[in-house]
Amino acid sequence: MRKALAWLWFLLLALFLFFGASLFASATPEELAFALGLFGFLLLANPLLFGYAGLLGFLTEVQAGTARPERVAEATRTPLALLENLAGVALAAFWMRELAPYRYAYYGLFLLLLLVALAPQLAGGLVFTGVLTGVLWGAAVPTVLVFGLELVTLARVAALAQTA
Amino acid sequence: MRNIAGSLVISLVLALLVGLGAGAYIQASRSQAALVAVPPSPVVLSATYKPDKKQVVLEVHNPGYLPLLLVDQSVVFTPGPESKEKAYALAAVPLNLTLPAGQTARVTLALKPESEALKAGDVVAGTVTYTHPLSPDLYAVTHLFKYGEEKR
Repeated sequence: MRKALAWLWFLLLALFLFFGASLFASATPEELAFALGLFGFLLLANPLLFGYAGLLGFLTEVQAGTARPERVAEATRTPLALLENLAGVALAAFWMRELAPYRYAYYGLFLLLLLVALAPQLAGGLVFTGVLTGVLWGAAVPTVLVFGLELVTLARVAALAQTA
Repeated sequence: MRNIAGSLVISLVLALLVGLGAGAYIQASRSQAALVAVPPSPVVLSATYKPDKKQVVLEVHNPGYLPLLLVDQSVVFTPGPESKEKAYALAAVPLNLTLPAGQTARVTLALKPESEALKAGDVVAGTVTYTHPLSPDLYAVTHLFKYGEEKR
C-alpha cells in the first residue's frame, strides 16, 4: 500500500514536471513574468495565508466553545499565562495583531509594484511595460486571496464579538 | 464589511475580475506572439508622380510585426496612346531600405532621365523586392501606376 502510494506520487510528480517543463518551454515572456509575480507574491503572502487560515480555524473552535489558548500562545509567541483568562474574541484580536506587520509589508510591496508597473504607462511608454504588467497580474492573484481571507476573518470576529 | 456573506461576495467578484484580467493579458500575449511569427507583406498606399524630378513616389506600408528589408526596385514603363516614348524597363536599382514593423516608407522610382514627361494613359509598373527575417527568399510587390487616372 505504502509502496503503491509512493509510486503514484512519483508518477504524479513526473507528469507535473513534464507538463511544467513543456509549458515553460512554450511560454511567452509575459507568461513567465506572470508566473514570477504569482509565485514570488505567494511566497510573500505565505505567513498571511497560513495565519488567517489558522485564525479562521481557531474562530470555529471559539464558536464551538472548544478553543484552546495554547494555539494562540504558539502562533503569537506570547506567554500562555497572559492569555489563559482571555475571551475567545480577545485571543483572536491578539492573533490579528500578530499578523498586522505582515499585512502592511505585503500590501506595501503590492502597492509599490502597482506604482512601478503603472508609472511608465502614465509617463508614456517604456519597453518593458508589458512584462511588468504580467508581474502585476501574477501578484494580484495571491493579493485577492489575502484580501478575501482578511475580510472573512474580520467579519467572523465581528460576528463573534456581537454574540459574546 | 462586517458581514460574512458580503465578504465572500466581494472576494468572489474581485477574484473574477482578477481572473478575467490575467486571462485576457495572457491571451493577448499569446496572440501577439502568434502574430509576430506571421511574415508581413508590404502594401502600397499611394503613388504620386513628380513631373519636375521625373519620379514616381510610392508610399509602402509594413502592416506586420516583423521588419522588412526592401532590397531593390524595378520600373517597367508602358506608353499609353498619347505618348511618343518607347516602352522601357529599369531593373534592379538597389534600395537597401529597412522598413520597421508598422511603419510607412517612401520609395522613389526614378524614371529614365532622358524620357519625356508622363502623358495620360502611360503605365508605370513599380516593383519592390523585399525579404523578411524568417526566410532567405526574395519576394516582390508590384504596383501599377496609370497616369492621369484616379488611383484605386
